[in-house]
Amino acid sequence: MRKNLPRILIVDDEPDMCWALENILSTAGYAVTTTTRGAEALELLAREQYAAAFVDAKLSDLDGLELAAFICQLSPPTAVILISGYFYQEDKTVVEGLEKNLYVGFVAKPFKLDEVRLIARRAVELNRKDGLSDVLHSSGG
Amino acid sequence: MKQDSFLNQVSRVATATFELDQALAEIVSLAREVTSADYASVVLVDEKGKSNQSTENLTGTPSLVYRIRPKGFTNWIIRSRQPVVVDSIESSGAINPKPASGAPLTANLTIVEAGIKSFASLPVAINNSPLGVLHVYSLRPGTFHEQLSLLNAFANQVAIAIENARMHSRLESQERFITLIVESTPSSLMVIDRRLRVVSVNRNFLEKAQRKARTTLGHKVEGVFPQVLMEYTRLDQKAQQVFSTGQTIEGGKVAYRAPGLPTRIYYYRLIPLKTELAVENVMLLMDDITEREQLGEEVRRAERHLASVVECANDLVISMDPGGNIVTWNWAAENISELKAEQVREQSLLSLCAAEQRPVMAEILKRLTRGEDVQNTEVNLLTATSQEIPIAWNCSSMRDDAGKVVGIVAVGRDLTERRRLEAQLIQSTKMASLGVMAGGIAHELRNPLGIISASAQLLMERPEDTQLRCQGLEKICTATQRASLIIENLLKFARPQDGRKREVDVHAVLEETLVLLANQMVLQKIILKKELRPGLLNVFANPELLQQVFTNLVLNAWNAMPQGGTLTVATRASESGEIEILFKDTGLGIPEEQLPQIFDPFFTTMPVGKGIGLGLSICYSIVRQHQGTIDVESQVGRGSTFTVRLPAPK
Repeated sequence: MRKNLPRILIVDDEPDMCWALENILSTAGYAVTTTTRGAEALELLAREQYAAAFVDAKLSDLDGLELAAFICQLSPPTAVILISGYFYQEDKTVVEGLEKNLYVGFVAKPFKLDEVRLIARRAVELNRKDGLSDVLHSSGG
Repeated sequence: MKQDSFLNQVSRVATATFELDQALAEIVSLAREVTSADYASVVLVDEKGKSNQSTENLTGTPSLVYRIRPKGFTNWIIRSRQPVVVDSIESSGAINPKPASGAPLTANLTIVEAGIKSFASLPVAINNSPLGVLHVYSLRPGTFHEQLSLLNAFANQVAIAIENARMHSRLESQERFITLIVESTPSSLMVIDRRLRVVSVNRNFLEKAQRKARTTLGHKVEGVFPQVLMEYTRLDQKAQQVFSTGQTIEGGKVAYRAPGLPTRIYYYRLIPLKTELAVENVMLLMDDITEREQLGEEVRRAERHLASVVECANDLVISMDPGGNIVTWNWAAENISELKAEQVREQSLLSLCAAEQRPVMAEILKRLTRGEDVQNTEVNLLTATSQEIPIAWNCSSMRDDAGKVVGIVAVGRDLTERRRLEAQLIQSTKMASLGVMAGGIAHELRNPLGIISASAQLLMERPEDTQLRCQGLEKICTATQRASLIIENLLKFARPQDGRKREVDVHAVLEETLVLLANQMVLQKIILKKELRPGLLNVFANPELLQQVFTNLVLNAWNAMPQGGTLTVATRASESGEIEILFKDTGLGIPEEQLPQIFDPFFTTMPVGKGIGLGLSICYSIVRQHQGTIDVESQVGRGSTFTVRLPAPK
């Protein structure tokens, strides 16, 4: 049963924030993995397929935006959601990243739980569609 | 008998006539008369025994002049000191009787030709030293036969006459010499006798006193000087005292106005002129010291002027003996300290310095006493009401002509007003730094807020989940504490400082500063490395001011690394025990030509509106207030290292 749940990766250097996001998303039907370090996130992504990844914009070892770009390259199916206490939705950096499809959504801290769950659901759905089209492409090829 | 009276006459001439030429002329004339000679002469020799005449002028009729032969009788007699009596001269010049061995064999041809037939020549000598030769000549042969003893007597009288005349001329020249000295002395001299009559005065005296010798010499002293001067100096009493004690009296200064001349100032002395037995005379010696006195008056006026310059200065001007005890204390020092000069005189300056800063001042005074140079320093002065006034001191040593330290001068500037302005400035730069920090602080706050908010919402969703409740509440508490700590640090930073110094842990201040700024660093991809030496001693400082220095230096590094980099904050103790705090960035670096200016107020390389260039100048001022130093090393493209050094803890 658990195996079939969509996997979500959480990357935030605050362990308590990881704890909160894990609780929010696991109750909404996702298999959640957390890490406080960008380097470990890349390792996890190399081992497992994740439908979505919440990435904090400022990590202690890596820049969140750089990590988002890495994830796009390493694991194109994973939909990245940027989360930040520094940026706001209207910030130029955030808008540019969205336009470039570095990430599919943005969450500003503090946030509403439903907001997080909604953006997670959309990301996973997006991932399913993309994944399907990937399958279609490969079968058609 | 006739001869005797002649000799007496000669003797009188020889002793009474000091003019040699006149005496000789008279003696020669007498000799001619007594010996019946036709010619007579005296050839003189000088003190080296050489004849100073090349010809001889014979008195007689007609007068006869002949050349003195180098090997003639005159020179032979000077050498041999033997008399010669010649009774006859042949026309060839040969003489009879035969002369003694070594003597000339012939007479001088000039006298032969003049028809002289006999002559006698005798040495004139005293104590075996030759003075000359006496010659007598006769136109008849044998004139001087048997007359040798008479001629010898003449020769002796000639010698006496010559010696007398010479001694007299020596005495005369000595007297002239002494007179010359006395007359040329630029002092007024007056010699008085026991009856206080003027015996002698020099020309200088007569000129200065506008007097004539004849109205002065032989007069009483009190008649020579004005009455008022006599009363003032008691010259007569003092002269008598010198006569009785034989001791010089230093009279001192006296003003004397000679008729028709402006008043002049003299320094006078009464000097005894003594023989072995008694004081024969007293000499009044008067030196004109008018110019010197006027110069002294000018010096005193310059001194008064200087003193009033010091007195009127707005800065404290204090002089001390080499031991640091106060000698002078000007008006500004009185005004600022509220202590009068009388209250502080002979007190140590140290006792007037703030207690905890005394070692700093003590070190400075010690170095000055040793003749070393010292740097300016800031030490608080205690007022009469025990308030502390910040003073910037500039101290130097006073030396005498030999270079020995004879005193210390301290010039102090009241920094109260400057400190007030600086405090305002520090406050506004703080506000400016708060603006820079705001981004980092927002991030720092929104994280705990995010945790609090998420946890609370989770608890609302699942109120029955006890495990979640426990965890969630704990997270809320931790995050709330974190958020309030950030706010607390912020407020502490923004609060105006009170300026008081206390024992401070440098690391604690550094950590507090870095907490506020760490996020700002992360946001600009600056890696912060801390190399804090454990066990560092506390320093004596104002923590708020120190924090301002550290903040400014971190922000300076942050500005220097817009593309990110590494900021290393290190602490260590130097060999001499100073505490060193280093801020090393890997930023743009500072061009060498700008290095001397970077601590100047308003020096900035930032674009207009981004910085007003006060950060580093405030750092400099604060560090100086702590008797510390701040230095920078930099390489363009490699980065800069700022080093703050604080004095070793006591």
